[in-house]
Amino acid sequence: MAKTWIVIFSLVLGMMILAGCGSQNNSPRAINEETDKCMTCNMMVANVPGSTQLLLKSGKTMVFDDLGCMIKWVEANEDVEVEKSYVRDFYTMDWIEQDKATYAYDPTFATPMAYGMVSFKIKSDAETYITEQGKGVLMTAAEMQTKLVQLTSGGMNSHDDHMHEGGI
Amino acid sequence: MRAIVSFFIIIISVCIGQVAMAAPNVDVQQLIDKTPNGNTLIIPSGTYIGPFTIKKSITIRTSGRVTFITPQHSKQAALTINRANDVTISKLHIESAGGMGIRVEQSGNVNLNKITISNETNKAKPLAQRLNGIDIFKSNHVRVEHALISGVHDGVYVEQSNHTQLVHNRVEHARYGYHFMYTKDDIVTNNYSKFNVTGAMLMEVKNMKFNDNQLLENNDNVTSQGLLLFVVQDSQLKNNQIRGNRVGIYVEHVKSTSIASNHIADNRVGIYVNNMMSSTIEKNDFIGNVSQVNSLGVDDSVLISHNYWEDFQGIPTKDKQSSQLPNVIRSPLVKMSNSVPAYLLFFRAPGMVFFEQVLGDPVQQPLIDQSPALERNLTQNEQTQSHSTVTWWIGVCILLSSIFIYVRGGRQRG
Repeated sequence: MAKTWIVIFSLVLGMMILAGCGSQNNSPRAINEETDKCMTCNMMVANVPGSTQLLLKSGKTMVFDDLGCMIKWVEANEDVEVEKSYVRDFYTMDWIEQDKATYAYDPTFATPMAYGMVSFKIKSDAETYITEQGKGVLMTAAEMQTKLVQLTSGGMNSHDDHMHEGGI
Repeated sequence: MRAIVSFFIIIISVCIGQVAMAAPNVDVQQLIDKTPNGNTLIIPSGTYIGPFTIKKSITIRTSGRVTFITPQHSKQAALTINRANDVTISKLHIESAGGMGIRVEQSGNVNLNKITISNETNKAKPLAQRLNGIDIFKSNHVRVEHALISGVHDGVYVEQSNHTQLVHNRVEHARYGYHFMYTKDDIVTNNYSKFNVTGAMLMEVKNMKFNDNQLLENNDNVTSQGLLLFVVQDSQLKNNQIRGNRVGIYVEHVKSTSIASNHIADNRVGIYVNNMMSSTIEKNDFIGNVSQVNSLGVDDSVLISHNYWEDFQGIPTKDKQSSQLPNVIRSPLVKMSNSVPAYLLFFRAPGMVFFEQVLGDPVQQPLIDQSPALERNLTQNEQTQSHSTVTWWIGVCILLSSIFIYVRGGRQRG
């Protein structure tokens, strides 16, 4: 009788361990430069401060080469449930939740898809960056969202404001 | 003869005081600064440590081999053309250990002719740590001709610049061969791109003429393709050789664009189409691609006709120019594998072929060529011929070997 209970207990314990192994991990993953591709623009995703990622409720992870590409994807896929969205600190490359970061924006800030939005973990770092560059606007997460939705929603003419600024 | 003419031009120019000659062991930056606006500077052969900056109208020529180098950890370009108009640089070699080769920013009417940019040490670096060969930013009317570039991030990167011309350039072992972002009215012709992650990337581009280029064997990376079009409109892609790439042409968000008379061969996927409108795909040859088309649905406004599909057998029309039967191409695995890539394991599985033929495509409309060509639209070019010649000779060797083994085996038994 005791043996039967030991067997049952072992089975239940094993199942609990296996179930624990399958639990969803909500932390962001490392960028793999060899295989990662932006879900919006199809460019390679480099392990740089501009890269971002989404964790979906389905457990899938999606990476983007630019914050603008991530905002564009979320706008175009409203039916997909997003668990967490991450950006990176410009100086340390630590992953930060999109809503908890501070942003510096200028159309001339160099980012992979030229959206010009740079993210920071600490607000004072964003202010320092703007001072160093001698240009740019400090933005909250909500202001960043509004700006990038505006920049990405124009379809084929979304970046017309980037054109016609050359020498001649 | 040309050398004699050049010699006399230099002598005459020096006499009339329009040409400054750089002597060895001099500061090139100082010479650039001293050359009057609109005049010519001739740099003698030698190696010069940069970086150098041009902020005026100037023509720079070289006498012999001139190499500009930048220190290992410099992020600056070996040569920067900043806010200058009417600049011409000819026959310059750049060995840029850390930084870019040439950066053109907020300038106009710039001609870069016969520029070589290479770096052997760069090739060991990850792609993300390299910088671009020629970087054109917010500059209009820039022409790059006969450049040879290898081992860099992007061979030629053009951003927010209009009327750029790339002619007869060659880029190898880079991330993207030619990369355009937010540009319009550009001409890219007779360029060569091989062994890069992507041959050419056209992103947010309007009114581009991309003709007579060769995009070959860009296939080492899982994200590789010959040519990627992302948000492109009013453009023309004609007479290009797109061969041996992972994806030949990747089309996404393309409008009012013509893809015509291209040779698309030996790629894993010939053409990938997602969201194309009011455009044409005609008179292309699709030969030897593992999958001719991967399509996520094509708008009714896209005209697809007279393409040659090697794996298609139709019924000829009276003039034998095309088939009476349309070529209906389904690719049901594309959408499924987009969400779960592991489904690609079922590619060409007998069950999937049955599923495609009997049940059709439950996910999206197929791509239909209403009048496919039954003979190749394009005559075989020299490269294709040489490829066929090699194959023919390999076949002959195998045949001779087989005969030898057969005859020898027969004798031994006898």
